[in-house]
Amino acid sequence: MDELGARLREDAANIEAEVSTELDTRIRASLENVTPAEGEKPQARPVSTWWVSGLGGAAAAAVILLLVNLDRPQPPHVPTDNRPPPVEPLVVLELKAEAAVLTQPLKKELENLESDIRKAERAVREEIGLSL
Amino acid sequence: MKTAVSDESELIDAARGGSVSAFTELVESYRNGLLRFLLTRCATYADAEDALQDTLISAYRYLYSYDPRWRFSTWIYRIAVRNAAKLRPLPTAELGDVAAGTPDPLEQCIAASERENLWISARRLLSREVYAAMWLRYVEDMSIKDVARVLDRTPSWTKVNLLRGRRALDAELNPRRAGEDKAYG
Repeated sequence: MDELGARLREDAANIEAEVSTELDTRIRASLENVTPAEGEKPQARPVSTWWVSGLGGAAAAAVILLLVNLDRPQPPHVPTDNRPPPVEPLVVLELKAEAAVLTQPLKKELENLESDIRKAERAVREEIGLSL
Repeated sequence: MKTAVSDESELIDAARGGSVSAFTELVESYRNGLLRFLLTRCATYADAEDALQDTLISAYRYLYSYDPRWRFSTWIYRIAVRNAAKLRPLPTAELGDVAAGTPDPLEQCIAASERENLWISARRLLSREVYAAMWLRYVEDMSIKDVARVLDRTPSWTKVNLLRGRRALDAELNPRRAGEDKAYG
């Protein structure tokens, strides 16, 4: 022990205080009038009843599982029929289209088409009263 | 050959069953130490004696709650600390200055000496809790963990405050060295 520790111990021993005979008698008399309280002492289960804890545990687990499953929200109904749902028939538009007949080189064809568009546009504008 | 521990556990079992003599034998080795400890926490000698009596009665009554994983001394000192706290407090908030006119029970029990008893210095310098921690550690030889349990503190608090207590008392014992320590930071 270090110097300070030894000094503390030594000085504590110099404190002269002892339980007097009178105090001792008083304490004994008090103790005689006291009944020790009885708490719940943990008791070891006898070896022969080991199965009680096993069965108890299993029963508790079963009850808990049951309660948990009862409380669980019901999932939405899923039909067991695997057939796909009916599909609406497709509406086929009737397009008035004509197949282009290419009689000249592509560049010439493009010019002709653009000319046709311009003519058609002019005709439409004349019909609705707009002038260029 | 029976060990002290098995003797103690046998005495505890007998006392739990209502044997006053077994209990008296059990606490025989703790009584004087408890009284000295309580003297440092009570205002008068009579209060310390009352606190000791209450401590032993409580220990006997509630012996069933004693957990053998603890040292018996730790358990009984914990009860003593609580009982001392229930009695009238010291005249001042801290142990340092006992009011004038009130006989200091600790000083009354210390024979006149050339030098001041270090525990008197400790009362002047340390707080009540640190003083108790120092006492339990150096007089009762308790581990840090046990001191923490008795005082209902954490082991970290106990370690730090024991160190502070030691520094304060070291400075009192060796003022020159303490001055040098301060000077050199």
